[in-house]
Amino acid sequence: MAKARKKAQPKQASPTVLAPSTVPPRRDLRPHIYVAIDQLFVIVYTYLLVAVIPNRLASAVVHLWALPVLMQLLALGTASAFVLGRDQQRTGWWLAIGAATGVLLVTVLLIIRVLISAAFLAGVYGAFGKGAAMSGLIGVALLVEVVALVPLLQLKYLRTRAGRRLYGMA
Amino acid sequence: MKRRTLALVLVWTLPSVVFLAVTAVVYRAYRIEPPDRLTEAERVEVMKTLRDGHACGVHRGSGDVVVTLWRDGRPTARVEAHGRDVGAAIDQARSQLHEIDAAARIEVDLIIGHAPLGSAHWLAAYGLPFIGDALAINPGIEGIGGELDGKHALVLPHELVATKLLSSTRPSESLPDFAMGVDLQRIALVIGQRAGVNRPMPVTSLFRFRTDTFVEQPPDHRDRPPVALTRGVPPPPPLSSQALREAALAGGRYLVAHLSPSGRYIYEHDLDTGRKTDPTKPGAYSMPRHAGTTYFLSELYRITKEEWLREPIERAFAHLAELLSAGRCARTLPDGQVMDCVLDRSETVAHLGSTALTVVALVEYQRATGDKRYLPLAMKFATFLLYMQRADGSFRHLYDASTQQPDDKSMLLYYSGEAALALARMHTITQDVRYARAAERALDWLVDWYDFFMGGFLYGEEHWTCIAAEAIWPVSKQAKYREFCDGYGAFLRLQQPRPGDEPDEDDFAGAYNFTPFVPPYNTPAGSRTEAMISTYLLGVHHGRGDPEIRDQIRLTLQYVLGQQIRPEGDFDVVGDGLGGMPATPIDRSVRIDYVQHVCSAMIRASEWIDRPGT
Repeated sequence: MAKARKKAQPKQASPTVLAPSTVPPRRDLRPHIYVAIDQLFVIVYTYLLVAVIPNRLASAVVHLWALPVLMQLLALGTASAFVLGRDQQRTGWWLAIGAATGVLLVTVLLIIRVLISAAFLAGVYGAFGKGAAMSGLIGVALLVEVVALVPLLQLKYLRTRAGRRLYGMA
Repeated sequence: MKRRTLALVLVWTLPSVVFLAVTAVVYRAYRIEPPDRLTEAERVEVMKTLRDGHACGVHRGSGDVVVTLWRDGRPTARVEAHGRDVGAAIDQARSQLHEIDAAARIEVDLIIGHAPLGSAHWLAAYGLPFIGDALAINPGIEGIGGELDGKHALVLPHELVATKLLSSTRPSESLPDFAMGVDLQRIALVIGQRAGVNRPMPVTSLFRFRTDTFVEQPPDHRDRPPVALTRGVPPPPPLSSQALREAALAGGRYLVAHLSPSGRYIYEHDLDTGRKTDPTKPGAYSMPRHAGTTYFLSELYRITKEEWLREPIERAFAHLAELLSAGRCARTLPDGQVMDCVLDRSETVAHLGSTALTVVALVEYQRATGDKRYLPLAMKFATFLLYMQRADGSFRHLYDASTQQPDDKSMLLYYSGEAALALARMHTITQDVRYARAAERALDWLVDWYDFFMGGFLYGEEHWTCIAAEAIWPVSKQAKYREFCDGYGAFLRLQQPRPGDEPDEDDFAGAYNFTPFVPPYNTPAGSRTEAMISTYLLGVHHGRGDPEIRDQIRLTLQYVLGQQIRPEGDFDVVGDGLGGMPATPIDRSVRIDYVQHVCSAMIRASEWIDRPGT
């Protein structure tokens, strides 16, 4: 059995010494793309909160305005890759990590608020039918997709070796 | 377990655990299960105790009871009583009521459950804005109580309905006409006043409760058991052709009783207060609805041949003739044809729908009686409709009689479908092919309007379109009309809860409502059923009626039979409300068109509903 498990070892390639490349290292475009997307989100969120869904309740205002504020911090932190100083880049990395985590937490809180409302309605009105239940589920799914996806991917990128290296963290 | 694995497990499970826990806590805090209602024998026993004074033998259930006495639609006495069970509480209530008038009707509310109101629960306060406050109670099912400084008050479900504060909140300032949801602040004030604290009770002092409510039969039917009410409505009579015919005739009687000597209807009647609009004074009145209501009365007369209907129909037409005598809209066209349109006293702009539905009513009268006295008038109106039609089949909807200019921009709901129906009906009595072709072009335009991508998903209010599509048969047998109306029926079925779909709101089964949070309007239940009857008949003409549409019609008719004001449920109706159709289960105002649409559907269905499907 043990013999059977033994895999045929691939033939070791003899080490070759590569000549120093004349091609400059490829520029990582991802921070630029993320900053652009973050900034776009800030503009869209601000417009929505000012013009489309203004809210008069303090708790809702704080909760909803946390999104553009955190996204702006995320954009600034990510944009620190474009400045020269290593110290600023490290600070920017931490700022971006914190802001992205904050957006994710705000999203979780939004989902909890949707669930609280759905549970409240189910308590008062009983089972409320496929239509309303589907609307609630679609609401939660859209929250994840629209609000959480970009900071999630950005967080993942910032924690990769390439991301850490760019900001002087590795 | 490695730290990394533990972190992974937590990341994947913790959010779900938090989500589930939050949901469970809030649901449990707010849930009041529907009550285990008293049996018929127990209800009889309770009423006997209240009438005769012997000890009540119902030794179970809630020991919190409110007894209300009603006379001529108004409460004359109300007592609250408490005991270890229903029997003890009823005995105590009886001792508080001195003498119960034989003509009075007794309503008993057993108070069941106790749960927070609105965002009073600490966790629910973090819910989405508007929902916790505006959708705070199940309207007509739940009452609100309050306790503060040793004082307390209970406002019963029907009392909350009477405050008219259950659907008065405007969720958005940009939609001033859209009101839904409870006005909790004003309700808190009402409860504070009732409790004697003379200020709004804080929401944290308020609570929700449910009731098991039943009411005594009218004096001439005291031999029957008390009626269990759901949202203030007694159980409906079983659906049958006979029940529908009787209900439609009751609607006809209501309208005749609300027709003034001048031939103008009492437009609106508030059943809670008895307040009615005055037909002799200027105010809100709709000529399309005047015409539509007279159309229904003519249709009722055609089908039932009840002679008491004929004079009121002629009186309503006489009112139209009186308006026309001013001659403000009459005009001779270049080709020599004379046209006229319906224009109310205060109007300078004629609405296409007023004239279209008047044509429908006049034709219906001729179909019912064979009397052709109104035919010349109908032809002048029909000429107006043809004048207002564009080459592509669409219509101009407004006509300025002073400048003799149609408005080419404004588009209003219903009017195109109403005009198509009027022209189809004109063809029925004149056999003039001009009307048939014009009706067909109108229908082609209405149906083809949806020929774009999103049009495949949605329908507007197309009930007149489908009524017209059937009315034009057999002159036009286009399959696309049937397909369109079948699609409209399927679209409507998505909004129609079936029994059991929403267990707490099973009394809404058969109505059309988008969610159970907003009580359905009765008028669309009527108008859409009129359309579905035509759609079903269109299917029959084509060889086979759709059984799904037939079921859809039956469900809605069963629902509206329950909604109509009948003697067993009129204990809280002020004035002559019998046969009336309230706007919703919790909005007890009756407008003439509510009765028209629902009862028109009833009388049309009564002709075939008992027959097996084809």
